[in-house]
Amino acid sequence: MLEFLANGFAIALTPHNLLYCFIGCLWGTIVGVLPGLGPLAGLTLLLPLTFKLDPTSALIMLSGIFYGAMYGGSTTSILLRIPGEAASVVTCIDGYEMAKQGRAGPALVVAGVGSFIGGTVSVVGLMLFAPSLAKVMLQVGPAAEFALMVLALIVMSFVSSGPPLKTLAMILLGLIIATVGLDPVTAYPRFTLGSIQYAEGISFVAMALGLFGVSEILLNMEDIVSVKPIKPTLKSLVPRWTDMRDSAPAIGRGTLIGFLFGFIPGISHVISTFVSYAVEKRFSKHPEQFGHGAIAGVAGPETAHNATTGSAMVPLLVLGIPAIPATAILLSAMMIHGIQPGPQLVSEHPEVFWGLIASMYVGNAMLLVLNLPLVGLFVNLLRIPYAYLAPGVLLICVIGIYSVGANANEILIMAVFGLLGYVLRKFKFDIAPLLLAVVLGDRIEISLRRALIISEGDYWALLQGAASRVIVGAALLLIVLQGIAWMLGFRKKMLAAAANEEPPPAS
Amino acid sequence: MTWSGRFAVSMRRGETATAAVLLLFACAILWGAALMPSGTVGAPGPGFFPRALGALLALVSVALLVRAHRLDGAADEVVALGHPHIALTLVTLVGLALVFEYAGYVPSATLFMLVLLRAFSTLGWTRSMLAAMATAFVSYYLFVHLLSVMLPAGLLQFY
Repeated sequence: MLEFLANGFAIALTPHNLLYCFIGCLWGTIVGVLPGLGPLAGLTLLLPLTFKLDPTSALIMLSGIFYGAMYGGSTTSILLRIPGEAASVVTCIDGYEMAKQGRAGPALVVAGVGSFIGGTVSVVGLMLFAPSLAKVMLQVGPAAEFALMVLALIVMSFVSSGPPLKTLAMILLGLIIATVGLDPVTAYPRFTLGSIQYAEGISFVAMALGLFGVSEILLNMEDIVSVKPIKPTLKSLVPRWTDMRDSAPAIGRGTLIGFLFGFIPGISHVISTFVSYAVEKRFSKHPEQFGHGAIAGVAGPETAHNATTGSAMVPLLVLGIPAIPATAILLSAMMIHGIQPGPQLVSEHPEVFWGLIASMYVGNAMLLVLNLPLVGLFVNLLRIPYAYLAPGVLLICVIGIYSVGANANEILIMAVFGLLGYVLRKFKFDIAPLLLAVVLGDRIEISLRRALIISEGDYWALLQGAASRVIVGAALLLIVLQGIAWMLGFRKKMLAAAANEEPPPAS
Repeated sequence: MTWSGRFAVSMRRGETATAAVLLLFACAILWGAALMPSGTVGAPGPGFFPRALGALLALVSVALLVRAHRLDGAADEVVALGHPHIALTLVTLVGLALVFEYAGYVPSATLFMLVLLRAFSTLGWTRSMLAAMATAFVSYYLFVHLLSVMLPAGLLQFY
């Protein structure tokens, strides 16, 4: 294997492949930073340019865009509370709080370092375990997939800052919004108001930008005079020793979570970020700091997000199945160049497989070198007074939305969701579960209906199979743990109340 | 401009209103789902999932109404809601959406930036206009020519 890897590095480190890798990483970072332009748009826009390249160079450049966009997505989430894509939603929670406290520098550095470690380790995993793990991945049937999605929602309800009842309402609202459009099984139009525009559902980007970005701006508009620009000093850009100490275990756990979740087709990169956040909150000695600028709440999810890139490549390279939408573009690029991904890829095109693996190492290192010096530049955005920053951010949101669907109505949808997010946040409804439910809604419905069709209507079939049982067991364990934590908290409250009511001792 | 407190509501009232709106929304979903084929348990149709979700949301909304009713009056906080800045931002955003494709990116973005800069910043008309035009032209060039993003040319399409 080492010999093959050495050959791969010999291919990846040729000057022209290094240049394509650099162009890919740079472009990926740019599209990742801009809201609305995620890895999918970045790959699609540059795909035609790769037609004239040789297959290895084309794939190296496109992969650079893929993980470059993963890196860049965290920047606007931390600085402006604008998630460029679903996987960046969690980073907004603590990343933006850190930025408000003048600690955007450490948040961006930790996100960059975590992304590098997560991305690199997952490539090692891809290299070592690709074929055997791909076989395991095929065991995940509709019932297990449904259980996994429900587990993600349970995890979300635990990490949510709002009361459980409000979180549940938000999850249900998100799932209902996800049903808008053509029925994924029968193509029957649902809640489309007779318009073709809603056949594919409501734009996720419009919803995410509205609920997070626009609602944040509206909240700040209430008292724009008091929103003071943050003036970061050179010292505040560098993470403290305690930041690194608190982030290190989160990065380790995020790497494992991201790598394992990356094998599951669909929206694994999104789920891995929420699961990582929940795990960090559970492991933390100060869970009350989560939601108020806990650095582990940035390090864990960002690492998990990037660790999925390596494992998401496994189903693509070994089985020819794109696990996430962005890898579907990589699949089409391979097929355009006459490469058929699958078990025979390693033997028939070793230069492509090992060249790509080696370029992932090179790309991750390149991204770290590219991103760390940019931290100071990005953080300076916060120096701009809010009266000038807010209109500019809104304009970038408008460009981001229009670039996705070339439809001005999506600007209206963004405005409506901005208002909705503003009202919900005013009355302390957490909007992150709503957004996660929108992302998962389609897949939850498809997997539930498929499982019911296969089992001919037997609900118990949802609990059959090893994968389903493990996931359902994990969900039950979480519910029990949360129940115990609630009971202990309730007992503490009762004891405190009893102590307050106790009459003072007679002197 | 600072908060005038004209639209302040109590948390209890706000939660009650939100829960009531959610309940109405759930009823609308149930009504819409009832018009769709629901299929059988062995072969669920398009109405199956929305119907189940609508029913669950209705239940949760009723529970939220009860929760709001039981909120401790003493601990009830006042929530300031709706500021002229917010209305202006939303109206400008809606206006931008309406003229975006007809007028094109540069004129509509210039107008959008001009209105918001005049409203929020201390810049006068001339400086606001210059800043708005510069932002619109620079962003158009950056996104369309360097990043290949499609933006409507509108009035500028013949140039």
